[in-house]
Amino acid sequence: MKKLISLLVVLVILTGCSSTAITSLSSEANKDIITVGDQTISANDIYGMMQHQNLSDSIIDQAVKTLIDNYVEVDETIEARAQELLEENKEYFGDSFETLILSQYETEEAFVEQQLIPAAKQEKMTRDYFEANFDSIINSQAPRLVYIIEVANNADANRVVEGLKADESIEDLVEKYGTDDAIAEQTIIATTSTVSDTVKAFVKDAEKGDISETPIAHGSRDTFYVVQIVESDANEFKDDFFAIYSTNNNNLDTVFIHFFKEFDFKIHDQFFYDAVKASDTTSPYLP
Amino acid sequence: MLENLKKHWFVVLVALVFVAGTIYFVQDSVTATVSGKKVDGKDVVFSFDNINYTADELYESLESGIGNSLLAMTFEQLVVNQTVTLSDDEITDAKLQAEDLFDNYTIQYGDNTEAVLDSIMQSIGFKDHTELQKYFEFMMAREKVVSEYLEANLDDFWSDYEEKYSPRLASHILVSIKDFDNITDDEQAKMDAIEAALANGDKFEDVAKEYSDDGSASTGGALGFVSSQTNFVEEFKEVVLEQEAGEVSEWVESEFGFHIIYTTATDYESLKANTDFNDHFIGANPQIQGNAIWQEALKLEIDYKGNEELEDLLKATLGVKELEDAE
Repeated sequence: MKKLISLLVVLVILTGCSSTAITSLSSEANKDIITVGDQTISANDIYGMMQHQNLSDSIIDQAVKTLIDNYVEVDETIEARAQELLEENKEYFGDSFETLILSQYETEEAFVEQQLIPAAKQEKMTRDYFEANFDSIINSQAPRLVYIIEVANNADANRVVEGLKADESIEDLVEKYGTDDAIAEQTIIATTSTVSDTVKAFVKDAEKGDISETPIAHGSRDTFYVVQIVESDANEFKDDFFAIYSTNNNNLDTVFIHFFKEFDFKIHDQFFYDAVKASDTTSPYLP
Repeated sequence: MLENLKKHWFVVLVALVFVAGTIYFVQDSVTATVSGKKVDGKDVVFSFDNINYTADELYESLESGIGNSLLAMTFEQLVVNQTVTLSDDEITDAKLQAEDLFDNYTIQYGDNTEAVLDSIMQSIGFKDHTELQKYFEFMMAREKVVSEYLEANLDDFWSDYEEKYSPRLASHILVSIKDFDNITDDEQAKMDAIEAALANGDKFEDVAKEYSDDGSASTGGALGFVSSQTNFVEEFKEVVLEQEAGEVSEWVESEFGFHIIYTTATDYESLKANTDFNDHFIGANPQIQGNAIWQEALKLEIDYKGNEELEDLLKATLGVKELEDAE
């Protein structure tokens, strides 16, 4: 019994004395970088300084990359999606593609490998979360497929409302009454969209076919909006909504905070932990 | 903005750690203790279930970014510390500055002072708070290196800078006018008194102290360093930049009232004691600092450990630019 107590005391003392977790480079990575005069700078010297910089965002970025890299396999679907993204990039940048992309990546293949495959993997993880939580996402974000027409004044807004009620074509109404910025295209508005709060407030509770009877003031400009709800069932425009959902940074935070918890994310260096904990943007990623 | 940050990367980095470091520490002192982890003899920085990300991997990912900045900063310290000898007075001054800083931190952080300063000092390559004096000695020695280089190579930088920014020291006397359509007798009397005093040969700064309605009156109307980038109302700026050294303007009308502007000096010798001028001059010629450090480095033996790209990388990070290539 005495021996057991002694052992416990030693264990308690040892636990109490265990030093704070501070990482350093392995002997393999800790090479000397440079000697100036009679003094040498090693990789570990620089790493030690890194621990005292505020690297919270870098730590979380690396963790997201690591998660994506390890939990999504590169299969035909991912490769095909990366190719699609490549084509989209080429179309978007046009003649500048080579100048812009190949100034950062040595080859097109390197761009696909280093940028687009990880992007496709991230999209896959986001899609998995989106599918698994679709009902709660549409409940909180209330996406609606709408026409939103910008008009110069109240009178024109009322004319557009009357026109929509009379089933006049959107193109004609936009051409007759719309401002120069008005377009006759369907768009998705959710609570996360960057339109005015009054538009979002109307859209949030509206149903298919509803028209904003009262013109909605633009907010920052001297114009008005008329909104018509084309579809309120998000299942009917799920892919288009996902395209919007998956490019919103707040949504991506939600997605990866979820996966960090699911895959038991832990930091094992006190300095980096403290930095991540101290930042409002990164602390939610901690368990 | 980004260009400016790049030009002053060293100063910005040091300033940031002294400001942000303290904020971070105050929050950090309330966090939990984490447990360490090793895999295959390597320290793990973070993990998911069965995935481990090691310190080696983190270093590799950050090496080309912040790693290079920290390397350049440490390189500067090694160069300056081995090539510059400070006088006893300068060492005493560094000691006093270190004590002042420590005292100021103690007022703010009490018992945490040493820990706060340790964290900051370690982020800029020093052991801990006990090396505060060493830090000030380094900063002093660095300033000396830069200023000596500048004096020796002034001709390479001054004329372009002078042409582009019209640097000068200036003073003014302001008579505030409430309504330009109805100048009051008092306002007019003040303007007359100023004109008479200046015509009488009274010193500009004495007249400014006695009569000027501007906040600068207490310093004899001194506006300090002025350049083409100074944010003055246009009509005022036009005159202050046009005048030769020693010239005093007629009355200049601006939205604030009427000014008499005195261009005190436009030459380097008069300007160089002004901190704002020095910051602007060096900021406009970022290679001055890089070249100065590099010139010192060449006095020492440097072993790049077989990394052929390191010399160019250090030069690029420090902003070194051969003078014949300098624009």
